[in-house]
Amino acid sequence: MQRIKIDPKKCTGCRQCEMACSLNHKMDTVNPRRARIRIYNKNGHFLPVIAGPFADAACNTKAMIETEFGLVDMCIICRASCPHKTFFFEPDTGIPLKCDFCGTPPNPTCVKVCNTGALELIEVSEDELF
Amino acid sequence: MDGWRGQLVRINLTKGSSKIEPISEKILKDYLGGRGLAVRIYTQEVDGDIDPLDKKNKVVIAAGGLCGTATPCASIASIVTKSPVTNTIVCGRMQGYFGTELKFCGLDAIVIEGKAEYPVVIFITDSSVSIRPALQYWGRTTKETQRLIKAELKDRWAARESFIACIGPAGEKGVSLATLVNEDYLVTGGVGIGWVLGAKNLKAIVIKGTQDVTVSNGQKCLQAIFSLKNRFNASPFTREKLPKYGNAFLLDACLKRGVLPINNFKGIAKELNGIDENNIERITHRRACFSCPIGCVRTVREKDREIVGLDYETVASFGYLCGINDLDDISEIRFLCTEFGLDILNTASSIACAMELYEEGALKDMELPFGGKNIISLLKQIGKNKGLGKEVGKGGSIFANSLNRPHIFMGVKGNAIPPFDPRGLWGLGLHMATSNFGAYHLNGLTVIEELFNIHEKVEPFLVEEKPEFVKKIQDMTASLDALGICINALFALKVNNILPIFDFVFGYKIDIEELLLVGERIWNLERFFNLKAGLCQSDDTLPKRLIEEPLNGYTCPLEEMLPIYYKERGWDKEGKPKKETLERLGLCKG
Repeated sequence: MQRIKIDPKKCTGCRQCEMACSLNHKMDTVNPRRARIRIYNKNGHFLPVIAGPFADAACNTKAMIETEFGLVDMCIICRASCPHKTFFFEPDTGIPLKCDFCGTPPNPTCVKVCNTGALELIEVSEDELF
Repeated sequence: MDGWRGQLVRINLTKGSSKIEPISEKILKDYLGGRGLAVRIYTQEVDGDIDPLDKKNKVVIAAGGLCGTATPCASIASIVTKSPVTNTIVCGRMQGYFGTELKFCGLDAIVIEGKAEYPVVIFITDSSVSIRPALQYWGRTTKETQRLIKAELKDRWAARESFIACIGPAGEKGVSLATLVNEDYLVTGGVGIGWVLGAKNLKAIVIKGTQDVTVSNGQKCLQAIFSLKNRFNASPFTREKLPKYGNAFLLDACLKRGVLPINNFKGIAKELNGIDENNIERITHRRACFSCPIGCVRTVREKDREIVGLDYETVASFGYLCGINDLDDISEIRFLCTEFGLDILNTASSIACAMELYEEGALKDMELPFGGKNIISLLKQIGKNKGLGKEVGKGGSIFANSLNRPHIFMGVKGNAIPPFDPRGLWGLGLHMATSNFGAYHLNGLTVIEELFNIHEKVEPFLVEEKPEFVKKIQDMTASLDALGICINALFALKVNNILPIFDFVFGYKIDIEELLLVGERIWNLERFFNLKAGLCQSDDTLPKRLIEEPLNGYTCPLEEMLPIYYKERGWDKEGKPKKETLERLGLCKG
């Protein structure tokens, strides 16, 4: 099973993955707000987050996570599109977006376009996932 | 319209109104966007002899033509106005995310006119504009302003996606050296823009867009992006040097060529004084502008703040022209410049000028030897427009004049010479003498060829070849600025490598001659405006020191190169564009 591995330390914040993702998913259109991957800027550290499943209600966890970039709001790293967080919704239609690995077999455009090695397609076994 | 959005927003600060206007396809095709579009709009609407601080003066911001189309390295927006410092048209390069965000707002350009009664902030969200009072931000530093504006936006997710360009206290108080700060990046090349915006009572522009940019052929575009990416990875400059050291790797190259000036161009560096690429790499991290596969911005990350942009311009001008040999001090200086909104090259040059005046005994107000620690307190004074800083902050040219030593200021048309010695780089010397914005290197980075010979072999000391070479580089840079492509891309690409993606984005083909013609058109339009502003041939010059005092046996032979250059450009002996040149470029009416 293939998964995208994210190394935030290598990310330079060029957001080319967002651009390539939207270009690949909607014909002839570039718009990072349609991308299924988004880059968060946390005091100059960049955190790529890939859109996960849609949640129809917001959770009530208000957790802060201690990372090497300092305290990060859990909500930022959370991959879910929920009504509280409007990041993975299409701006005009309001449809929630979810990463589809650009088809089967996985061939993600974001990984292909990333020049820093922050995104990588790796092989993981099912046991490692959980 | 593919690639472009075909409209601009006109914001009148006097009336507090805004209006969306279409831009004709012909103008977009003739000028491509960015610097071209901004210069075209500005020169059409503003008279050459206007007082830059008058409320009739306008400011035009335009996003590069390829911004927001996922083209690698296309992220530069241009801000154009007439500068009170140089009295010429100036064009600031806005790096980072601003240009692309402008495109996602559905706009190609912003025109700001009039003068607000009280400090205001402009909010642009998807072609809708609101102008709100900004008294609570007035007087704040740039980071503080950005933090407060973001805190005030109700939706915190929207706040995350808003990008802010603002002026610092220096711009508000009318410091000549003031410029604009765009996110964490200082706008370079636009000395005095901060002052113009401050005079308009405009504190900040907040921008957020969610609209689409369409391209002509998306799948081919993606293929072109991948192949450009491979090209970037094939060049040693963009694969290794720029990502690792930023453009500070030029330090070493300049040292070897003997063109790294020290102490206000009094001499050249014999060795590096601890400010070198390895030390910079040690303390900094990498960051990129929008869509950039290179990522050459070096940032210092500290616990509660980030200092963006420890680049060649900063380290060479403060580290060598002012003689500060402590990298921590230089990052502190860079931080203060960003906080106050001060132009790096001009601030450094004015301070270096003050240091030389101190060593000559003409300046007694503050102890300011080269490399002295007082520079930080002087910088704070400049930012607050107080004490000696009030004098130095008027710009090196006026400051040196006030002490009756105009030759000490190293600049052309009031704009400071970047830290490359033209006595060893004749092409750059000619470029800076003739540049429309005063001495500035990024609108004609001849250094790429003169130091490294990447695309063509350039003889260092051959008078006859230089003018043609300089004209070509100037035109090329102007068209790249119009497309919004960063000059650093030239370390890996030739201009004709961009042509395929141009086709896939805009849906029509252009060849290299036409592209250079766009650049030439922009250059002549700027020149024409400057002539109307009262500039004449005698302003195309370099400081006396660079023409008369030899370095390694060479001076810059400007007098020999200038007539050839004018001829090459199709200008008469006084540097005015001839009628047939204007006709050839289709500029006859303007």
